[in-house]
Amino acid sequence: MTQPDTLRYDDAIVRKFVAATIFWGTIGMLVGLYVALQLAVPQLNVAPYLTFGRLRPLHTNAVIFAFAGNALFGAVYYSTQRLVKARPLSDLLSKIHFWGWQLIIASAAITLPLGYTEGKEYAELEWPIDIAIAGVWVVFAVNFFGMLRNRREQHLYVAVWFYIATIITVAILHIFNSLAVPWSPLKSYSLYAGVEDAFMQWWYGHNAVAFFLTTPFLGLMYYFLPKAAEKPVFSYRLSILHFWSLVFIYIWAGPHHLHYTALPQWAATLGMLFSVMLWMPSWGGMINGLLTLRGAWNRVAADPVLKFFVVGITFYGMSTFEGPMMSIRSVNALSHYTDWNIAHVHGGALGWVGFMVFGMTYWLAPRLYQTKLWSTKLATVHFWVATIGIALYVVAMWAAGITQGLMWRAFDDTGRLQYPDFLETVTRLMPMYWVRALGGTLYISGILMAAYNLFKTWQTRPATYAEVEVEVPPRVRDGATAKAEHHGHWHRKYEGLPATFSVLVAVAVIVASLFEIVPTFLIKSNVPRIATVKPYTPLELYGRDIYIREGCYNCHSQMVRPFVDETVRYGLGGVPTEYSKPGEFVYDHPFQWGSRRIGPDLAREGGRRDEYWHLRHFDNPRSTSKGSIMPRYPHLLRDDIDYGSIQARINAMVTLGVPYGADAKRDAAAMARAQAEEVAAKLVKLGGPAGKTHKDVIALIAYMQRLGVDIRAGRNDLPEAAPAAPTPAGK
Amino acid sequence: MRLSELVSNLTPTTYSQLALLIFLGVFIAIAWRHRRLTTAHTEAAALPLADDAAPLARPEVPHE
Repeated sequence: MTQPDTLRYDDAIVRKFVAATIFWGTIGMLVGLYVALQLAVPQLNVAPYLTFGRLRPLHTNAVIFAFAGNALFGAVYYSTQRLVKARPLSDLLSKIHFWGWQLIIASAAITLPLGYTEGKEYAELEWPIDIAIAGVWVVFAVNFFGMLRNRREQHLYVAVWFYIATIITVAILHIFNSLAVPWSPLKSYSLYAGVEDAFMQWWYGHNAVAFFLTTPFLGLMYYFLPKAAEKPVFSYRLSILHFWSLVFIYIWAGPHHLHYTALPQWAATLGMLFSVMLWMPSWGGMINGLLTLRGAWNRVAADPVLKFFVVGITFYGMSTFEGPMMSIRSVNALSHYTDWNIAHVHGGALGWVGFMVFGMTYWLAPRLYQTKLWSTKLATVHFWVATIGIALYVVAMWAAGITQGLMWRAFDDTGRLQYPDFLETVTRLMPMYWVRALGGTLYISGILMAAYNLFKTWQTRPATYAEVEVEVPPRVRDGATAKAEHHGHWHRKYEGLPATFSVLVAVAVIVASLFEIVPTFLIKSNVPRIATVKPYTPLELYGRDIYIREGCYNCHSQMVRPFVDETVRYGLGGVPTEYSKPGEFVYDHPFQWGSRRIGPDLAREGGRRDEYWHLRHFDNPRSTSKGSIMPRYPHLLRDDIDYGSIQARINAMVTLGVPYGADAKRDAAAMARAQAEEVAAKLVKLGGPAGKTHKDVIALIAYMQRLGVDIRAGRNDLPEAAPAAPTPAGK
Repeated sequence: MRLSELVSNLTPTTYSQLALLIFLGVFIAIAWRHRRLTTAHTEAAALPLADDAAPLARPEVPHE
C-alpha cells in the first residue's frame, strides 16, 4: 500500500501577487480619477504624455491587467494548491511569472504615455510587449498544468475548471488579436484591416471581459465564498451547467459591440442572440453564489468579507443582466458610443471584480501574514465608502449616457436636429462628470484604506512565517487512476484528466470562434469593394499614425451608423451623408471605429473645415469650439515630421497587401514632402502661419482632410467640400 | 456530395443554426447526466472546506 505524503504550500508567491494587486490597483484607479477629471477640467491635460488619449489606455490596462491580473494569479495559486494538494510545478517559474508580469506592467506604464500603441482598445500594447505577455502566460500555464499533473486530489473542483478555461482562452485571444507586422522596434500595423480587424478586436475585447474578468473570478467565487461562508457551494450540478454554458456561449457574443456598424448584419445578430442567451448561465452562477450563503446570512452583517462577496456577486448579476440588454439592437442604438457603456463596464469592474478582489484579500490577509486583520472596522468602512462610490459613479454615467444618446437623436418640430452642435451634447454632461469624479474618489479612498489595513496587518506578522505542512494522499496518475475510480461517470472522468478536459474547453472555444470568424473572413460579399477607395498617401498614413499615437479613437468614432440623425449630423453642406460602408475601411490597419463619442464622429471629416481651422483647433480647441473639452496639442505644431520613417511604414503596408504604386514603394518620403508643401501652402493662403510645412500637424491635417472623401468621389449629387470657415480677424 | 461542395453551399445562417444545435446537444447531455444528486457531487462540493487539513508541522521560514 502506498504511504501518504507531505506537502508545503507556497504562500510566498500568493503574498507577492496580493501586494502587487493593491499597489497597481491604487495606481490604476488614481489614473482613472485623473482622466475622469480631465473631462471636467480639460486644462488638466498638461503635457503630451499626460493627455486623455494617452492616459485612458494606461488606466484601462492598469486596472485590467495589473489590478485584476495580479489578483487572479494570487487567487489561482492559493486555491489550486489546496484544491489539488500540490505545489506549483516550480518555485522558479512562479518567480519568473510574478516578476515577468510586473515588468510587462511597468513597460505598459512607460510606453502608453509615450504614445506607443497599436490603437486597439484593451490591446494597445505594442508587439514586443505582446510577445512578452505570451511568454509569461506560457510560464504561468506550464506552472499551473504542472501543478495539476502532480496533484494528490483526483477530482478537479469547479474553480479549477474556470482557471483552465481562462488560461487556454486568453492565450488564444491574445495571440490571434495581436498578430501584426512590425515596422520599427516599437511600432507595428495590425495584420487585419477594417471590418475584419473590428471583428477580431471585439472577439478579443468581449472575451477578454469574459475570460480575464469573469471566469477566473467565478473560480475565485466558487472557492473563497464557501471558505468564507463555511458552507459548500449551493449546487455543484448547477456549477457544471454554469461552466459549460458560459464557456460555449460567451465566445459568440463579441459582435454585439458592432451593431449598426459596417460589420455584416448576420454577425451582429448572432452576437446579440448569444448575448441574450448568456442571461441563463450568468444568473445561474449568481444564484448559485448567493444561495451558498443559505443559513449564513446572519454573518453577513458582521463580516466585511461576506459583505464584499455578496455585493460583488449581486453586481455580477446586475452587469450580466445589463450587458445582454444593451446587446439588443434597439437598446444598443441608444446606448452605443455613450457613457452608458462606461456605467456598464464600471458596474462590472468596480462592483464584481473589485469587490471579489477585496473580499478575497481581507479573507487572505490573516492567513497569509499569520496574524489578525489589523482592523475589521476599517474594512467595513471601506465596504460602505466603496459601495456609495460605485452607486454615484454608475448612476451618473447612466444619466450621462441616456442624456447624450437622446440628445443626438432629437429632432424639432420642423424636422431639424434639435441639438445640431455636438458640443451642446457634451457640455450638458458636466454635472454628471463631477458626480462621477466624486464616486471615483470615494472608491479610491476605499482602496487606500485597504492598502493601509494590509500594511498594518503585515507589520504585525510573526518574526518568521510558519510554513504549513500537510499530509496528502499519493500522487494521482492521469489516465488509469481516473478511469478506475470514475468508471462510467463520463464528466467526472474528464474532470480527472486535466489534459483531456483542457482540450474539450479549447474545442468549445475554438469551434464557436471559427463559426463566426471563417464566414467573416472568407465570404467576400461581407466587404463589397468600392472602386474609389484608395490607400492613404504616405503623408496621410503618417498623420493617421499620429491620430493613433494620440489616442484620438478614445473620444472620436469613425463610423456613421445608418440612422437619420447621424447621416444628417455628419452630412456636408446641408446634404445628409452616406452611412459608413464596409468597403471604406479595407486599408485601415488597424480600424479606428472607436467605441465612445466624447467628441463628434470623424468618418466624414474630410472637407468639412479648412486647414487653418484644423491647425487652430489642434493648437487650442477652445479657440474654434467654445466649451470643447478636447486637450490642446501644441506639440504637433512644434514637432518635425520624421520623413525617414515613412518608407518603413509604407513597406509594412505593402507587406499587408495594401496596393501602393511604384512611386510610394520607391520614395514615399518625397511624396510626403510634396504633399506637406501643398497643405502648408493652402494653410498660408487661408491666413495661417508660415513655417509649419514639416511639422506633425500638417500630416494630421492631411489625414483629417482625407476622411470620408473617397466615397464622395465621382458623386455629382454630393458637395466636394464645405465652404471655408471664416478666419478670425487678426490671424 | 463532396465536403468542399457542402461547405461552399452553406450560408452564415446555416453555420449559426448548426452551432446552436451543437450547443443544445451538449447542454442537454450534461443536464441529463447530472439530473440526480449523487454522493460524488456532494463530495466534490465539499472540497474547498476539506483543504485545511490539520497541519503536521509548522516549520518556520524567513520572510521573503
